[in-house]
Amino acid sequence: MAIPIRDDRSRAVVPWVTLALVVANVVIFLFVQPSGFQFGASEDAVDQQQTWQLRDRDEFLYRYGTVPCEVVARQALADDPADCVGPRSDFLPDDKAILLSLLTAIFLHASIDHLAGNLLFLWVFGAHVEQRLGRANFLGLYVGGGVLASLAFVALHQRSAEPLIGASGAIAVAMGAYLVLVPRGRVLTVIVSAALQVVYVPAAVVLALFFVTQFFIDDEGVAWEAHAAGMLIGIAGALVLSRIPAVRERGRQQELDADLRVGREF
Amino acid sequence: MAPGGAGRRPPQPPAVTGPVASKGLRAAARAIDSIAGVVLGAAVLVAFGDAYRLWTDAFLVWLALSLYEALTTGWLGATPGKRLCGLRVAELDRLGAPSAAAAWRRAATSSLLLLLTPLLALAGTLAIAASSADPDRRELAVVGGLVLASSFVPWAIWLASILGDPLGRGVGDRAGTTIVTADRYRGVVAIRDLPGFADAVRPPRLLRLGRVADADVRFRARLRRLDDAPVLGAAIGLLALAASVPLAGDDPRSVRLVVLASSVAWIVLFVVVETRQVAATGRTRGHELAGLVISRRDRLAPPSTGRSFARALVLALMAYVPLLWPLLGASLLMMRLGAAGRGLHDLAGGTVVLADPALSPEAQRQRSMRMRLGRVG
Repeated sequence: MAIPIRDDRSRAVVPWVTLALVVANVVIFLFVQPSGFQFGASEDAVDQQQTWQLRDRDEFLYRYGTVPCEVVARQALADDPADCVGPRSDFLPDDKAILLSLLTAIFLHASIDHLAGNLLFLWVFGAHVEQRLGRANFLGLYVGGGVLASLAFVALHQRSAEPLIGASGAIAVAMGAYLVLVPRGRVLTVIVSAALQVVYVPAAVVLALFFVTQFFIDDEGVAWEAHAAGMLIGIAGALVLSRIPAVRERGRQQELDADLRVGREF
Repeated sequence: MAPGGAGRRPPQPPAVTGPVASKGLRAAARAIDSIAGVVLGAAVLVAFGDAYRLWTDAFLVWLALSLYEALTTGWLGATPGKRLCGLRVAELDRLGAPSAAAAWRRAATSSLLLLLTPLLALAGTLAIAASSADPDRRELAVVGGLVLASSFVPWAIWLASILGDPLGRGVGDRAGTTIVTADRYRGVVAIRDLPGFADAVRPPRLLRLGRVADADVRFRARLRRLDDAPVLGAAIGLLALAASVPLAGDDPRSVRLVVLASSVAWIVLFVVVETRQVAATGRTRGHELAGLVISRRDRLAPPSTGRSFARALVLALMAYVPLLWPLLGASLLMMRLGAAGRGLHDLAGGTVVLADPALSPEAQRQRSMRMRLGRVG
């Protein structure tokens, strides 16, 4: 397991969009999502209160999460489309804006560790991508890429009735873009297992560790296809966006500025 | 630190007197603010608390404490506790009360650290209680015990950052570019008047062979030890992967075995590589980037292979065996406070780490600054 802490690029501007995305995700998790998400209400609910929480959580999950077979059938799960297979909750929303759920899903998280892990990666990798691409470009890449990554997952699991939530797809986009924009970037990382150690390693190593370890997590709910698609989208998006003359010029200026700060010019 | 130890110190610069607040007054102010904070936190929990949203509750308490400190600092120039004790918070290079942004950064950082310790202690206690109620979840007690045992760390960071800084600027002050000063000191606290604000917060320690390396730069150089070794980086990655693959299914004993084996493999690898590098060149890649050199004590030369091996072995055991981490902490203190800055691994290797005498003082200073800024190459 690899926990990134910071990268070694100097920060020339305040990463307002990254900051806003972090705050938005935290506020949505803490105040908008039902309380059932905060301590994982168990399936074998015992008392009345826990049953209510479970119902609220499932209804929220199926209303604002991306359910692949709904997107394919353009029909809510409550209407029982023919192509949907697999287990589903007893508490399904009647009216659902299916296409909108592609957007809302990337701002929801299943638990506090899910949230914390995602936002850590967003902060470490997103800030510099925002600085290089510019605010609007970064926001567009994050949201658009996140939705596209969800769509890729939908395309691979067309008959699944399991809801997909989480910013991981969009964050994988930011990580892919980081690889393109800062190929020589190094990330201070805590590597747990193989003797706990703190060391600067190339960003590619962190991303590879992130990508491979997700297969060995016991948790069933890791959508690795969305992560893979997100990284590819991020790489492609950054390659395209960095052709914009303004973006290229900004990158050159920031390199010069960084050199000046460490006194290389003297 | 006893005066008159081994190694001669150069004459000390005059003590910092002007704008720095006394630690006793700051402790009293913090006590008053803590009482106010506990009352405020309890009020927030009574008013907005939700028994089913524990994370939201924690967030609200943090927000309330941060707002209390930030608003009072922004409006009154200090928290009520500090005002009562005759202190104020000054933003560096700015007249009057700190700006809203500075006050917020200062308050948010310090109240996060101050809140984390009780939160971790609470979480650890809850986990232990949950495991004792349910015999199937024994491993939860171990996790809870670890969390409880490490819950002091945020307070320790907060306190050490204030006490360890000659100007008394802790993590909150560094986040907000502020300083706590006596209320009667009305002037602007200018960055350029503060001794050692940018680098070298302490006077240089000089030995016959050269200047002793700063402990924080040595630590940062360690983080850079793999910068020239992609193969080693990949090796760490492979070992970490091996340790995270549950080879024999869910059997916790075999998982533990894999973690242990990969850790031992890493320690052996580290000792071999470090011994070769230090004996041959007197430095690792991190030392080179930071402009440091590891030398024998009697003359400027790399230690012998045997000495390098002893040094690498002690260092690896201290760094990678969690039971020995207290020794690592002791070594850091020795590096920071000792007249020759020698940690336990330096004692084992008979070495001393110096600013590279081959570099000009200015070049050496620039390399240290790059390390502190986290940017090299």
